[in-house]
Amino acid sequence: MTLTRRERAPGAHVSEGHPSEHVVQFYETDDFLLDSVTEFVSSGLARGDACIVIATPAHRAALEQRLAAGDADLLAAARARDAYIARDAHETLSTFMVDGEPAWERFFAVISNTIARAATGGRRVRVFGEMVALLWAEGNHTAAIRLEELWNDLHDRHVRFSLFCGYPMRSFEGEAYEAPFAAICQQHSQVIPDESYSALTSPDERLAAISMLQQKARSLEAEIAERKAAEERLRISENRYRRLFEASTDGILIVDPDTAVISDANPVMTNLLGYPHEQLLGQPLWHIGLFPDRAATVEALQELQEKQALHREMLQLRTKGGQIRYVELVCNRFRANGHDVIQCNLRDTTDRNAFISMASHELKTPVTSLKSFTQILQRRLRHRADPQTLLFLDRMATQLDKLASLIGDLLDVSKMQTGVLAFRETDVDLYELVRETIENVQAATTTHRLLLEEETPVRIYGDRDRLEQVLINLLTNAIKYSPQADTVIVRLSSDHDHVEVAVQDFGIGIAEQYHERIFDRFYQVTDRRGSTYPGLGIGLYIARTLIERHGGRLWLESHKGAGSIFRCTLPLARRESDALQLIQPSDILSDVPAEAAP
Amino acid sequence: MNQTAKKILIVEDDPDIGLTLATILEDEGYVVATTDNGNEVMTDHLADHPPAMIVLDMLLSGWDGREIARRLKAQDATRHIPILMLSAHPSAEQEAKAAGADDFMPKPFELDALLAKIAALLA
Repeated sequence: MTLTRRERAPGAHVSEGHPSEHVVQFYETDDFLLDSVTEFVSSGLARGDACIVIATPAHRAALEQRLAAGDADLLAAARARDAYIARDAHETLSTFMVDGEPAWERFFAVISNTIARAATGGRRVRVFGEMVALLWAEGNHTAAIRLEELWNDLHDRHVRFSLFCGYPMRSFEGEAYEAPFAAICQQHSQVIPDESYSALTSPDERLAAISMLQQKARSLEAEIAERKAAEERLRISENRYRRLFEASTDGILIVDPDTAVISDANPVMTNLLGYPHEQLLGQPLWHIGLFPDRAATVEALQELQEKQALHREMLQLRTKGGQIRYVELVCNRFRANGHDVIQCNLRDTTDRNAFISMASHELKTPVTSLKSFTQILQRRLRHRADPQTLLFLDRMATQLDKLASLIGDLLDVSKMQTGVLAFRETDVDLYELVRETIENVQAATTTHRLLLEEETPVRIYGDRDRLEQVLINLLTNAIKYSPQADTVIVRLSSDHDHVEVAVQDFGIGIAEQYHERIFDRFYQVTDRRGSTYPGLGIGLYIARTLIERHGGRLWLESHKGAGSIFRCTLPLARRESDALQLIQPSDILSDVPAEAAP
Repeated sequence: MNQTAKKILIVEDDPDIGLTLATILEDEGYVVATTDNGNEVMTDHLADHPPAMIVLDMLLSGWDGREIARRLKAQDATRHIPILMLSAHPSAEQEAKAAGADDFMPKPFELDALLAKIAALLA
């Protein structure tokens, strides 16, 4: 007869011949367990054995129903001769559990009495017990294993009985159950796999199933090892990041891009802001004195979203104590642990700024008095001194102007390098600015005529003073390096989104290999005879940096001997909403020292 | 000089710059008073002979020129006195004007430019 999985009670092999003394049946579905238990009990009763069932009410009812369905008289007859004893698993358990542990004396008293009753007349006894499974399900694994031991102890000193335990396989899902599972198996003299194996009947099927299980076990082991390695790598990487985060000299905030709520802050950040760590977490970005309000924060985050990065220098920060600090802010948006985060790095530039301001003041004060004394002497001696004295005074004044301009340039370079260069951006009519600057430079030169071509009004957004500084630099260079020529031409042109200012001279020109190097800091072009163009490098470095900070470009087109054209492009004024800057110009104290601030 | 001896108060804590400013203005025919002390500005110099204008350094030791400007511009008695603020910080002009200064001159300066600004403020 060929049996299918459904027709044959899978636990049938339990009852074949003499059942093992202590059997454990693992199962996936209640149906399978009940089939198995029914077979265990019914075959026992049929042999004239007595059966004790210590189970949950549901399992008892289902078992009895199945027994009745198999042989209507079997159960009734067994009851009649007191060969079927049913107990509630919870109740029975509670009779011998003390402080979460099964107590041997009580267990012995309760169970051995029941077994003695069943064994009346020398009957063999079969026990189906679910108490261990209940303890296991409660998570009291120690008590479950201890109870299995007690059953074994009882067996050693008592009449012979067969004990059938059932454990749902789902109670062992997880690597952590490997050892307890082995301990459970050790407590039993026979272990019956769950239906995925036990339902198979032919030896070949079972061998194939074992092989497949072995393969599955191998691959799971490999997967666990890989996962552990990945977790370890992640842990190392997280530790590394954490160390960088904690030890950074920048203040760092981690912010949620959707809500602008702070999720983490490092120690430098909490010191800078003056809020304790736990007070910062959960706060929106506009509550910590960094941005004036929610609208400004939202706008900054929008810019970050569009450009993927946000950079602000000389941002005003109000600490919890009400102090004003100046910070450089760099924000980046990236993906971490499956969602976007914003990392904001803040660097306190207040002290650097104060240093540069102090240096500026200390260097300029003596130059100011020297220059004033020189000018007073020039005025007083204009009609009295000899020509040579007047010439010397004139030279002194010129050299003092150079010194003052050099000090200004060096301070600018320092600001650029320490990130404290501040812009006061406003709407600027570039045509008007170019026209005025040409007028001013023209007023100070007698050798060249400065011509402006293309008179088109064009509005850009930028720092008027800084743009003027660039124009003055380009115009004075053009005059200085075309001593043989008498004209400098300035052209203004614009396309859809950029404006170009071109300053053309008709001087000696610059060989192509120097076209980039002249924008290096402190670089001076030297011709073959070794003569230099003093002061060229630093001014162009500053000019290019200023233009680039405006989002523009500055470059040179020139040939040796054919004059030079310095071309500078700037983005046209952006749309209206962009004109609403994060920080209003009046909020920025610029390079006025912090200690001078009220 | 055909100035009608207008009095100019110079508030500057660098003695050499104070001296050059005083010399320049006296050469131009102004009556000059100098101080390096903010307290004096607020008490002595304004009480009896208030100046026609004030040349005020922004960064004084112990006193902030902007604070002096703010106080002068907050008082009815002194609000009308023009203030020319000086600073070695070229971009401090907005700060100076925000504090109430009528005009600003970066240091170092050209004499002619300084005198032109003073004349304009006194006009």
